[in-house]
Amino acid sequence: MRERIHIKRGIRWKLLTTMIGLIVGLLLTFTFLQISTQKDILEKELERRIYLMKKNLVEQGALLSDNLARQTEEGIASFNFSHVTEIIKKTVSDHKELSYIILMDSSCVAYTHTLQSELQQEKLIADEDTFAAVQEKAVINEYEKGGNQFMEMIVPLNVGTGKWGALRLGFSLDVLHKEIELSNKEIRKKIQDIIIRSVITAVLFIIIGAVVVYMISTKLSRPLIRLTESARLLAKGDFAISANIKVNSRDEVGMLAESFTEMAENLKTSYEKLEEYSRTLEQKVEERTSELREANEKLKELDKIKSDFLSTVSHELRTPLTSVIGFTKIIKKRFEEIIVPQIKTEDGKTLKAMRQIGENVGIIISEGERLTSLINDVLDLSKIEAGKVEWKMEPLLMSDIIAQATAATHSLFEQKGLKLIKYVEDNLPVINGDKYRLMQVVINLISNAVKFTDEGIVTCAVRKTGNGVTVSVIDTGRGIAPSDHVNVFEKFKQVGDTLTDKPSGTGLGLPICKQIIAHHGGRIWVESEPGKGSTFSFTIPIMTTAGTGQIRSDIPANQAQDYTTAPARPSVKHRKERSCGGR
Amino acid sequence: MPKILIVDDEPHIRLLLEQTLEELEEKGVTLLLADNGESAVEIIKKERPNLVLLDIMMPKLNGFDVCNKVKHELNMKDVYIIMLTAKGQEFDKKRGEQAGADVYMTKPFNPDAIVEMVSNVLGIK
Repeated sequence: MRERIHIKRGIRWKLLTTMIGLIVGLLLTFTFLQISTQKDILEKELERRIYLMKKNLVEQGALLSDNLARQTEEGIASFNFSHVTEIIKKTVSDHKELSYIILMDSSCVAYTHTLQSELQQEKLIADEDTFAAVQEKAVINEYEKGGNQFMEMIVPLNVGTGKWGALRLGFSLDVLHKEIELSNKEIRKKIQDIIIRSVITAVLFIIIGAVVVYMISTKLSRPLIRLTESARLLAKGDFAISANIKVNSRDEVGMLAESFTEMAENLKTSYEKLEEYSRTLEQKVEERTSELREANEKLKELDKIKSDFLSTVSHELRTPLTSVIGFTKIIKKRFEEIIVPQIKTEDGKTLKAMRQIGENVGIIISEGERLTSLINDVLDLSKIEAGKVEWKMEPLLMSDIIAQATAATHSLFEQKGLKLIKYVEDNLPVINGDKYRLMQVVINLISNAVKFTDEGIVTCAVRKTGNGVTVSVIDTGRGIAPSDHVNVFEKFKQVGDTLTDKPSGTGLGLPICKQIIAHHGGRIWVESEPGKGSTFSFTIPIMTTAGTGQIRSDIPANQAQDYTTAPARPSVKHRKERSCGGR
Repeated sequence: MPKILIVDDEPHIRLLLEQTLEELEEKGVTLLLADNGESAVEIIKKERPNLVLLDIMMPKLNGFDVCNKVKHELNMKDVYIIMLTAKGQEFDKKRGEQAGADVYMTKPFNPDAIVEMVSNVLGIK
């Protein structure tokens, strides 16, 4: 849909106003000039006319006055005043332009006053009168009297030897003035005409000009507006409009339109390419995702297989083992408690056989138990490594764990006649850990210490170090060569001569401890030298988040009845020590 | 007259437990046997034993289900159930607890410990 773009102050408006302004300005100036010029001309014309008229009047007047003056002088000379008066009167009535004639003697007494006859024989006292009286030569005097303008021709009269007086011919300038008035009116009218004409012309020109400008600006702005509209559509993603821009002109607008079309086409191509790429990408992503999904499914399957394997193995191995150990124990019991007491013989062979049977049964039991713990350890380690162990992490105090572990291993010390020393620091910080697993570690370390120490002391020390709690089990046994320090923590690696130092235990105890400690974010290590005993230590980092509630430092009442699935060795007490061997 | 029910699909294990608890028979305890979960439930319903030694991995009805049934469905709270099993995973211990087992033990077990525990539960010296 094409939306019309309305521009408030666009090109059209700008051009129009500029043009109208120009036209009006021009016309105003022109009119003004014309008017002033015309006025000048007309006024000059008027001036000339007035001048001419005046000149004419003057000439006429001069002629007349001269003429009359001669006649008057003659009349006065011959004392024919009535004749003079008659001539004067006749002259006035003959010449309309004459307002009056005054015959005056040198003392300003009016002999004849055609206008104001009452002044005859009277002395004239007005300025013009006195002025006229003193004149020696013919002059013209212009004066105003009673709102009328007069031009007076004064001709001095000489009779006989001297000046007799003056003959004054007064021409009214009114006519002249009327003429001037008329002319002025004419001028004004002419000017008005000019103005009106100019205004009409101006309006006409404005109208025409506006139309022309409108057309031109439309011609200019329309393609621009179309371009703008197209640009908007383009921005919205409509690429079809590139065909709609038809601008034929070769001017800047045309160039713009051309560039625009080109750009639109490029955009269209780019956009199409992009669409295609994204489609391909989507496809690829889909493929990868399904690949991942498949792999994930396989992994899940594998995991399940692992879990099933562990539990199946666990079950399958333990069941026959249960029978073996169980029955053997019963055999031993029945033999010792029922059979043996019944056999009263002195026969050496029989006695030897009975002794052997007793011993052999014992061996079967202990080996069976060793097998059991081996299976337990293997499964335990597998579980830990497979991440199949559910860790019960809780805030606890190491001191509690040490207490429980030492209680559990108490019998070992008794059996071997060794001494256990405990050293627990005060105010140990709280750590986050799995209680039974940590106990498992401590019990293991202590058992090992007892196993490899024939006489002396085993020390168990707990203290705060840096950011954690460190537990150290120190024995006075045979020690471990530095080259073997790493090996002791490896699976099934036996330390020592494999021929003479027969391995006892499973060889998995320390690897399991290592896994447990690793899960707690700590580390385990050994410091030892042959012949100088060994120190096995591990660190657990301090619990960083504040735990709620108190930590119950509890020591369970009866350790022996703790039959949980934690793969603690079935009975630490029943482990038969060997005199030598690896850990 | 205290009664003990031994439930396990493995004949050897049944025999083993029987022999283990033989000495208690002299003290007046009756030993009952079952080789699958279904018959176990029937016997429990009928005989009302004081204690049951229950294996988990069995055909028809497994140990958890038996325990559940006895403790929750039949609401026989006074039957002491010891789960004996070779399955050694934590998850299973929880299942055992949920099912209502009183004790959960893994095999191989210590026969002496069994005798001691059973004696304690039944109050026999």
